[in-house]
Amino acid sequence: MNQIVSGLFWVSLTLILAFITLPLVVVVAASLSPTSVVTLVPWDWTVKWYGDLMAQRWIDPFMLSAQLALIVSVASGILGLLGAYVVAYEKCPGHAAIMSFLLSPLAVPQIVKGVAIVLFLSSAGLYHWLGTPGLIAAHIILTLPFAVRMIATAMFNFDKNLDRAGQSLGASKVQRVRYLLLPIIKPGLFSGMTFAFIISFNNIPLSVFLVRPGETTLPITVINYLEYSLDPVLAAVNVASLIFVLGVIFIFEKVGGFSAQIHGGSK
Amino acid sequence: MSTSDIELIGLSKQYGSSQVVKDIDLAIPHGEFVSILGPSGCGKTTTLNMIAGFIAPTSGQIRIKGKDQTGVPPERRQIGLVFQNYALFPHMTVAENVGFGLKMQRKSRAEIEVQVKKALQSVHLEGLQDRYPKELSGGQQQRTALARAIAPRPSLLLLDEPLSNLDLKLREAMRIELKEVQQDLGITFVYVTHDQEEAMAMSDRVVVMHNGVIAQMGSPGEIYRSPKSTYVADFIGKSNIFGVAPLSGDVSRCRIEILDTGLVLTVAEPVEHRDIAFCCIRPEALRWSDTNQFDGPSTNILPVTIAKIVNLGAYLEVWGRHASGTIFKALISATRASRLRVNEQIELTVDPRAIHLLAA
Repeated sequence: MNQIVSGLFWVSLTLILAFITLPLVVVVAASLSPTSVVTLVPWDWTVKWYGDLMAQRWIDPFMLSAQLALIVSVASGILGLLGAYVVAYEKCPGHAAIMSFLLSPLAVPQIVKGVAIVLFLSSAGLYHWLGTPGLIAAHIILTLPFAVRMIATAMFNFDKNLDRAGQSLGASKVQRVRYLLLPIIKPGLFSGMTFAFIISFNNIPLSVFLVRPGETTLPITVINYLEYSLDPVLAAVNVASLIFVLGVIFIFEKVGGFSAQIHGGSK
Repeated sequence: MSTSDIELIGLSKQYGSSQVVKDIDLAIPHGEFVSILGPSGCGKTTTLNMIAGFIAPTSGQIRIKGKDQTGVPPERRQIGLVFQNYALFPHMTVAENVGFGLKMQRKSRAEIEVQVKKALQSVHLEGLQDRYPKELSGGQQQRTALARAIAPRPSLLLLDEPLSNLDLKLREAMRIELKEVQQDLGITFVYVTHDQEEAMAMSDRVVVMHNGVIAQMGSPGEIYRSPKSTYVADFIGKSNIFGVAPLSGDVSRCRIEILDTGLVLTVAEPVEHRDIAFCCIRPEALRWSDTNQFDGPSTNILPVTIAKIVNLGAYLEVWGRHASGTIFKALISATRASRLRVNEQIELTVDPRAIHLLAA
């Protein structure tokens, strides 16, 4: 009986993993295929599509997306840290209500948010905000709830006795935040920032309202390109951005050490 | 000018309508090891938190070295604190944990190193300075917490049930070690616990708290020998407590009657015209007078039938039931009592001086 159960467990685990990875395998194969017909035969493969990525039409959107994601991630991290500090650590009056408010953008569909931001900027006469400044602001609104959530969870889990111990050892409030709170919630901060980075880097529904010609993000450029052709260069773009995002996650993890936080921590 | 390290003067704490600590007066001289002992909810932890500065008293005053501490935040009281769950900083090594207080005092790196080494030596943790707390056993974590608290040389150390997460053997070893550390350093210790054995084993003075007030304070021996109330008698050690009344019209004036039993006991002091409602007899004061070993005429003889024998290893706790139904618990050495059986009829005796009388 036990063997049947554990057998079923392994079968379903394998299926789930296959479900997650197979589309990626196909994309990788497509990016290496000489024509738009995907081939899985390795000796037919070519890397010429990756050479095409070096063109301006891909480099510029990539740079914009990467910069945007970096700014958004840092801004969400700082704002999320401040918000979570007041709400989860200081537990200011009405902290539960403030927390719900900070998380509320999650409940609004991105399309609605996009329309709302465009309408707001134009009715407020802030036309010059459309484009990159608007993108930054909109992405921060989108990613802030994730950052706040992650950081607040870390702060809720912070043992108040550590704070008292620090206090009894003569540490002032600033010293306690610096030497105790921040190092201990660092994994939460960095996981929040990683989420912000990925969400911003991949975003389409909000960006589509705010990009301007000649100043588009990578996902929007891909969508636009897709309207005219379906050649393997798109697959190459996707594989390249996948590798880029994995690299970013790796770096954030190295700095922040949050894998324990995300995976539940077996260490 | 008083020489007390710490004085509590009319200290009270009220939450809404419930008064958790009621008007406590306590002066602790320098270098004393004081235990605040009581069951959970007696106000001992609240008292500790008020001394540390985490809770502001509703009324009354706390003085440390003669200085009023009202409004002084915990970080400026220079009081060391040892927590029940240790509260070690998980992201710091043992050495960093122990050096934290010195670092906050902006001591030089070299001095911190020397002091940390000293503190680790005094708790026998040499060689573990580079470990992280999660790599330590419970006892080692406890020692680290102690070293961290003593490293900045506080004049006063508060300990909040620091041993209750350890297993019995380790707890007993740590009792002795704590006391040694305290004597070596000459620091005043205020030790909060619900474990009376712990309090008895280490303290110079025990403060028994009950419902927010001090029920009794004194040396461990004093509290054990002459509890002032049935509460203390019952809480500290084991006791046979009975309702009693002075025997009226008795010529010796030194006899009491255990209520509802018809048993009359001779006591060591006159009882006439005194407010006496209870007597307390420690189980070890109840002797089993083996009929084969005649040891002189006993004044107080209690004929009982053995109802139960509880084996405590070196001792047996023998429950003797008197004809009236009253149970007398006697502690008898296992070697002597090995042949006793349940339902056997025996005689228990008690020295008049071992009967402690209590007011209502």
